[in-house]
Amino acid sequence: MSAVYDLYQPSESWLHRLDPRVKLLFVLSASVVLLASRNVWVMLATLAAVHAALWSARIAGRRIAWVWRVTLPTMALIAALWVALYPGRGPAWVEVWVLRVTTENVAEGLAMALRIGALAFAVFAWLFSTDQATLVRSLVALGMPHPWGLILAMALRYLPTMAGTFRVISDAQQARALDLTRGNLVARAKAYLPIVVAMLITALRTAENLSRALESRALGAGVRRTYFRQLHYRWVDAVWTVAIVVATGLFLWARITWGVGAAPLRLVP
Amino acid sequence: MSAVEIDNLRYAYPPLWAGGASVEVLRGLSLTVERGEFLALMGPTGVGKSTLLMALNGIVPQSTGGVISGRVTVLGADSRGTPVAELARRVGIVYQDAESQLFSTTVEDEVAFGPENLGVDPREIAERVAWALDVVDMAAHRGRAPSQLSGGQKQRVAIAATLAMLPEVLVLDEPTAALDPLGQREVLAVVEKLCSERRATIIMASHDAEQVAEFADRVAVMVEGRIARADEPLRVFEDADLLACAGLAAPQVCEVALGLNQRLGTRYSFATLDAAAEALGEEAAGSGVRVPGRMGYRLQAPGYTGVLTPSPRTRGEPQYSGARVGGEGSLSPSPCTRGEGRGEGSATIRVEALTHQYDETSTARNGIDLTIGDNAYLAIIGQNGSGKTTLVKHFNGLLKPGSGHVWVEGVDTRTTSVGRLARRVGYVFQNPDHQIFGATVREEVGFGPRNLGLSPAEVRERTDEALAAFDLTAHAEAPPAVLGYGLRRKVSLAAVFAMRPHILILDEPTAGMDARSTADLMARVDAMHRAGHTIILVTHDMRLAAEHCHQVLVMHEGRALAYGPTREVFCRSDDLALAQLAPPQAGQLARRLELQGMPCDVLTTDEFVAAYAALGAATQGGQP
Repeated sequence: MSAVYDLYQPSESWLHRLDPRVKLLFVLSASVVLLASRNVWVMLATLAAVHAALWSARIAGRRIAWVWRVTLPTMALIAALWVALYPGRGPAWVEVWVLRVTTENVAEGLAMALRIGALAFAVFAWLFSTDQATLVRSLVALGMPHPWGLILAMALRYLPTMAGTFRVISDAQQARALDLTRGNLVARAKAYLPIVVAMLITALRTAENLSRALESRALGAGVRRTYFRQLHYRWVDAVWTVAIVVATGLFLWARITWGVGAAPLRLVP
Repeated sequence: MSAVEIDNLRYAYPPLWAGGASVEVLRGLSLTVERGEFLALMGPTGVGKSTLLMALNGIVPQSTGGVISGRVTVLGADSRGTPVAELARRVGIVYQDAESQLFSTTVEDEVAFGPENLGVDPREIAERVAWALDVVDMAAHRGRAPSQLSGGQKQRVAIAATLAMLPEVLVLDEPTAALDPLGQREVLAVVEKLCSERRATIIMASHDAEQVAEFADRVAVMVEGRIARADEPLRVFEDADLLACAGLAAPQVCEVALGLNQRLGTRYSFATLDAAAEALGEEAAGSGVRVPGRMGYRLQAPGYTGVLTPSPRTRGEPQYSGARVGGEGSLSPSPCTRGEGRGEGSATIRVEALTHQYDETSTARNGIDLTIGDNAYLAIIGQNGSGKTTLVKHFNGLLKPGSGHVWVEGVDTRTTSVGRLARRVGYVFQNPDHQIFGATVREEVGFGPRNLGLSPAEVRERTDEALAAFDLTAHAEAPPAVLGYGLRRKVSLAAVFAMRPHILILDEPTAGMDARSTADLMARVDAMHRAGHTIILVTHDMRLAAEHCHQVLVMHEGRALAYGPTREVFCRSDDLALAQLAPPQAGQLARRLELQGMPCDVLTTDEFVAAYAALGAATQGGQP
């Protein structure tokens, strides 16, 4: 169950060993490059680079296939909507009423769809190679207040637990002949009320116990908090940081100066 | 200086709703705990044990509010005036609910959390984490997520997380109440280690008299918000008046001693299994009893209806899968089996080649064949994850068979909705809070009958009947969510009872309840069985199964390991050992005295006393 909520796949690869802050920098830089570009080749190149990184980090093929399964419907929808809503210039392949399919709007739709895919893969590469505790620790190290980090960690921790509780409560109410499948949408939504209320009561009890447990473990002791989980920024992390910053800077410079990546098909317009 | 000194402590919780009255829990309680002492705290459900424990680390009243008077001093610090976080350096507390005290994403982060808050140097934190996980034998699991651990493992991590703060006093609030027998043993092994090797000061609330007798130096019994007596376990468990007043049960071996003393005029005095085996074993051995082999020796003593040796079919038979209990042409219960002739006849539930698999990563529940007779009283036992709940969820259609079939009163569950099956099968879940949502107890109890489409008059009639049957009429208009645990348990049972199902499934109905509440609840369940209902009890309490149920099904790793009459199943020591279970204490004691001639199929106190008396009579060639 927890596998659904914890995407981390343990390994000793270079990507796993990379400082999580550097991986976060990569995600942000990739986002900037992808959002600044409208070019199919830039999107494909980013996707290929992320796939190469995932492959070299020995991330299981089924994980990569899962990301494709999750993102492909959205990508297809975006591509279709783009073609439908933005009539392209130039000769039309198909022209039906307001729908006008051209090389230009197909390429742009493809670029927009690939942008979503590339962004998703960049984020998942970070989540696949960084365990939750390190992820939260890196955010706190980057300046997120510790209580926020604690809330994030607890949310990640309790997601599977609360999902399990919801299932048990749903079972308990159905065992008392509660029918969740009959009637119209409003009737069905109303049928969920006993589950939602019981869930709320259980969540409040858990929250009360949790607050006592946190206090009992000296949260807010009034001393400067230390951290067991230390992040080690090594020379290789520095090399990657420089490489990412330089590559992003170079792309943005080329984009502004020569319009690289501004057109959907031609790299340099 | 004592570790804990409590003087005339009075405490009342704030009102539960606006305009309500304060809830007084502690009423002039005084207690002293010495350093290095292991004190067990016992008392009925709702007497204020948890409140007292939370007063030790300042949660009461600093977090809970309310009105407090008197004095609580822990290692010289006033718990009312010292911040909770500061007291946490000295007093570590482990709560009953393991789930809500593990909030980190990995085990090692959980253990490090306390020292981090105390500003301990990271290198020292690493050392403390390694040490604490080693103490609770969880070092191999340090990188795992808490949600992936079993109940016992979670509780051990919670203990490690507390130990890592190096507290001088360790407080445990019913740490084993929600665990299966294996989880209980794991946690108690840690407690034993802390006691024997580190001489830690431990204060542990518990309902389990057998655990308490085994480990505690002293037992403090709470009655009506005060300490009624604090003394050595043996003295406390021999104080029948006190136990009756507090609604507590003594360890079964204490009851055995009392029974023997009354019957034979002896003066036995023991509270643990080892002490009992030593006392009775020496006595029996001294009387010169030597049985020619272990088999083939039958005792017939007044009050004892068991056979000395299990019938041949209970030994060496591979399994009871497919066996039919209590029905015609069935594996008939042996003459000694309780429930004989009680109409446990035609099949009410039939399971055929049942398999179930939650997902591709989980273990399949393979090929279960089972027939449960009408008016059966069945206990399903086994460790957590053995498939007990998965199996019974097939009986009311919450789960559909992956392959195979389940018929309930002739109805195929695969093609019948949960709602329709609910007319026949009632299912009381383990945690009452998983079903309570109503604004009043009356609304809660009437929910099921309303869902069955009954007329308002009939819903009212059934609700009133259920409220009366479970002594809830006085609470009918109260919000069920704010009632005490024992009452909430009754509400959940009454809510299912009101639907008048013929088959009643109870999942751990007595977990976390004191002896009196347990006896009260089980008396009502027994009455339902006498009225003709089929009762299926999912339980970790072997004594409960032995004393109430007529059949037992042992589940292990998703399959039915043993199934048959209670006495026969509890004699199958190999199967029980494989499932890491043990018979009730009387049965264990009898087995330890087997060489002296005691029959091994003893289950209850009365049976043990009768068999032991008969053993003496047989040896002396006369009547007991």
